[in-house]
Amino acid sequence: MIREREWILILVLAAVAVAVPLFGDGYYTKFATKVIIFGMAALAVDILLGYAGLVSFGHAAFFGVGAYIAGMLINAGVVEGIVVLAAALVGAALIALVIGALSLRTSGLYFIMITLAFAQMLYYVGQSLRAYGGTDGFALDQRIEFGGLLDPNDTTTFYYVSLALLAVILFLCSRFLRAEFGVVLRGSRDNAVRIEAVGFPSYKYKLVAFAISGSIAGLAGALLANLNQYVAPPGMLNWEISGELLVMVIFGAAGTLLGPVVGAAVFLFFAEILSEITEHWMLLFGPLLLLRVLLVRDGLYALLQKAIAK
Amino acid sequence: MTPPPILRIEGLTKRYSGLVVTDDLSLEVEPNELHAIIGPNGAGKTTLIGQLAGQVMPDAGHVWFDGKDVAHASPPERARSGIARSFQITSIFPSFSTEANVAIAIQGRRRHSFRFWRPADRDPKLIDPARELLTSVGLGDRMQTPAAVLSHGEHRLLELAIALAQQPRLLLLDEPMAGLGSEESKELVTFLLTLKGRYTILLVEHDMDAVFALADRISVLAAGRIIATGTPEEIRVDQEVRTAYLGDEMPIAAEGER
Ligand SMILES: Nc1ncnc2c1ncn2[C@@H]1O[C@H](COP(=O)(O)OP(=O)(O)OP(=O)(O)O)[C@@H](O)[C@H]1O
Ligand SMILES: [Mg+2]
Repeated sequence: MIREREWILILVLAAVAVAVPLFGDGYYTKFATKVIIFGMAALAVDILLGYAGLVSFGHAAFFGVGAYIAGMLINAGVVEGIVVLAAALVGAALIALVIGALSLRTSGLYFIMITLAFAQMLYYVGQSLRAYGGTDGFALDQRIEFGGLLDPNDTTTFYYVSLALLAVILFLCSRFLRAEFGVVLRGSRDNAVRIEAVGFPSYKYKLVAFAISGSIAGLAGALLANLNQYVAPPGMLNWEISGELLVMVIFGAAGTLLGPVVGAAVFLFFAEILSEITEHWMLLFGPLLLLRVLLVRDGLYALLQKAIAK
Repeated sequence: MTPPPILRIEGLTKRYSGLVVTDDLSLEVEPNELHAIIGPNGAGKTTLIGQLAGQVMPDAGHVWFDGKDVAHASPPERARSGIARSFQITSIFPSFSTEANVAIAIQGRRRHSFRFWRPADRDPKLIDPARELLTSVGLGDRMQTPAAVLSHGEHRLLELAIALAQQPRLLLLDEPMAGLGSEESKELVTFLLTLKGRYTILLVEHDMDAVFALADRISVLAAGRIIATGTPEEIRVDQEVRTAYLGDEMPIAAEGER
């Protein structure tokens, strides 16, 4: 997966990421944490889009489920980070197994629509949770803790925890996508008939990939819940989130894992400055996306890859 | 005593909205036989191959492979039981390297691929046999080339290599010579001759020179029915075959009259 000299790019990005809190202002660190979190969710979408050729328009479901699980546990007094994050991961994976088992029976446009439909259903479930504030959502009593060792209430600590989790996930994903499992996924994307003809029941492989992807999005959701100390259907379970994650992947470069993180950074950066100008900032971002698609064939990250290859 | 047939097709029937494409078809193939199927365009040859490999589900009938009825098994199940096919219209993994196209087929022989850690592209158990096979079909200098950019002739060879990589006990070849020049066709015939006797092969082919050079037996398919089965000699002189299908412009007819 990792091309020659891509290491340089990875090291540069890692160095920038590690250095962010050194710039002092907590505002930037908090913004960077958001980038990490959405980058993680976008990477989850990329596993499906870039490697399995599946366009999921429903990842808000897993993102939101992870956020709700984290919020509910914390407010119930379960604050141990490992437990809360693992619960979000497993909970989102289970939901993804169910949604995936049904959605993966379809393909193409139907797959897009059915994943969207499931996510919308969960949005309304979230809205109907009266005990958890319905549409308004609910505030978290506190953030997760790590056995008293780390204090995630500290902006910088929470940033580094998120960054470390992202690094681990990036590493694990790059491993399994290059291993036999990843080969089958890419094979099913390339040629759905041939992959079956050489002996792979591709449905099973896609389902496992869907669950892995869902669990990563769930973890990201749990982190966002902690970052904002707030959980609500809008901003976590709404379909715009699913769309934005896809935009981040496409902006950054599908099928690269790190590209979607770069895409998330660019997307959130523009969202931040453009929304200062107008609340209809998407009106301004739209043309940017168009330029990206028209001018840069494979995405920003692919552009960076080419730049260092010279 | 002749060995039991490895493949026994019984009463196989497939209709497409009224059009009977496979019509109560029965056929037996012996182990290590090279059995050719010839017939005019639209006779139902590809549809037959599809029903043997699992891409097409029959409406009725049986496909006994090695004593088991696989007529309704899925393509991966059949692949795992030892049936491999090539496609008339090249069907490969275009974004993979040539080598990876073959390696993934070798990987398909393993019990499963739920392996998440070791890089598959460095696994000598996949790569070494893939390279060996590619060298044997003459693609040895194209291993790292993205499969998408290979020439048509190379695509046909890769198509064959993928099927062979599955180490099939029944090899279904759907027009492996399709679109090849005469020189390339001859080379492919020479290669297929090296497989003869080592594999059970069902060969669909329009190239009559190839068919008569390779086949142990030939079946003639017309409108979904087998109208004759026999040795190349028997088929060459069969009057019904000649009137029903072989026509004057066919090379066999020409050869018979020369
Ligand atoms: N999926 C399908 N739906 C409807 N009709 C089909 C389908 N597949 C094949 N047919 C029809 O069935 C008939 C047999 O097709 P098939 O491809 O099996 O012929 P063939 O003998 O392989 O021909 P060729 O020599 O041109 O490859 C044709 O009339 C074709 O139009
Ligand atoms: Mg055909």
